[in-house]
Amino acid sequence: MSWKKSNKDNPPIQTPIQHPPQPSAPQSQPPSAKEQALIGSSIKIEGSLSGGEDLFVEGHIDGKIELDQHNVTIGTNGRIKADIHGRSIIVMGEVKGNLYGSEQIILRKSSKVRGNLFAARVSLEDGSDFKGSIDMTSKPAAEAKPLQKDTTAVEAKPLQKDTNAVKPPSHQVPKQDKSGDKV
Amino acid sequence: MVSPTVCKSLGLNALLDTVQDDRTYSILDLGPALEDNVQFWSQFSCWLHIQDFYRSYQEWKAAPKPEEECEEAAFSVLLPFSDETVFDIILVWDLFNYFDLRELAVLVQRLSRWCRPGTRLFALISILPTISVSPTMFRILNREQMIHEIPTQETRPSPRHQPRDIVRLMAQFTVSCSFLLRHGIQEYVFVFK
Repeated sequence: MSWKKSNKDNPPIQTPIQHPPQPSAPQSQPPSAKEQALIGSSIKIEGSLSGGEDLFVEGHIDGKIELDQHNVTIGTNGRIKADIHGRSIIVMGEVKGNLYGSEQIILRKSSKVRGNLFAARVSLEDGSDFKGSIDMTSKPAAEAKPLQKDTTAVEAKPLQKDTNAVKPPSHQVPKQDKSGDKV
Repeated sequence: MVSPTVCKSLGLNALLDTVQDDRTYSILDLGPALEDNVQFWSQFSCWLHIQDFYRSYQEWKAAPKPEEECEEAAFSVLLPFSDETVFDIILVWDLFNYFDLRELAVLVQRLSRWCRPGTRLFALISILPTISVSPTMFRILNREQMIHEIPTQETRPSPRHQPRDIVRLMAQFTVSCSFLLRHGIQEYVFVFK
């Protein structure tokens, strides 16, 4: 299922901004004056979700979120089983899946995340329940190539910066050249 | 929580002495996700794998299970890395204080699967008679200092693992360096043979 909020009749300048419920931490809200779609806490979506505006999720999504050029915020009630692609991704709820932020990923203290993080900048607040891997190999998230889940061997050459290392799938890590430099 | 204290860490300094700027590392952190530590490691090119192992293990022990399951089963679930995985650095912190030697043998055996010659393992072992009931959180301030955050004032007896037991346990490793610090913690940097 593909989901996209229609803005045909609403020129951006006149479209009222939908304000989601205030999260526990006011700074959790992305500072944006642009359009922002809200998926309320009673909404469940299964499938792929894409669109042309920022997104705030308080509901459940099982599938995939692809908003590469836009900000994605998972509110405290949000429950996501999906890979998330966005520009800036802020998590206050639960996510099981990999996060790909072309600019940044922020895990607030109320967040619970199981998956891998790929972004130029990753910020993780104390108290966030995170298990997974953080790519800090100085590679933009756009280059990250998600592998199929449950692959066993993951080839990677993370011996130097800016190599074309293939990213690991969930809870797997890159295989390294055993003849490489020692620590 | 007991007041956090800033402590010198010669072991961390020794560990970092071997880290070069021109390569990428794969780091396994068995502690909880801490903002300061993520920030610190971000200065290096690395994959940082955070497992929060102690809490996961406690949750596993508390969860209802159909049969009596052993540590091997738990550790394989809680540390689900493929055989192709290789870590350059493993941060065990003070977890050795919270497992008996039998459990530790299973844990070390499992970790060894993902080591290559040269892999560093950083562990802090208490020589004091008592320890906090749950592991200390170690925040890396800089390469020579860490903040020790003891989560509670409640204490329990320390297993006080003896150096000979540790050496036997870590048979696949050599001790690269070891420092006994004033606050009763022995820091070890082990190197996989």
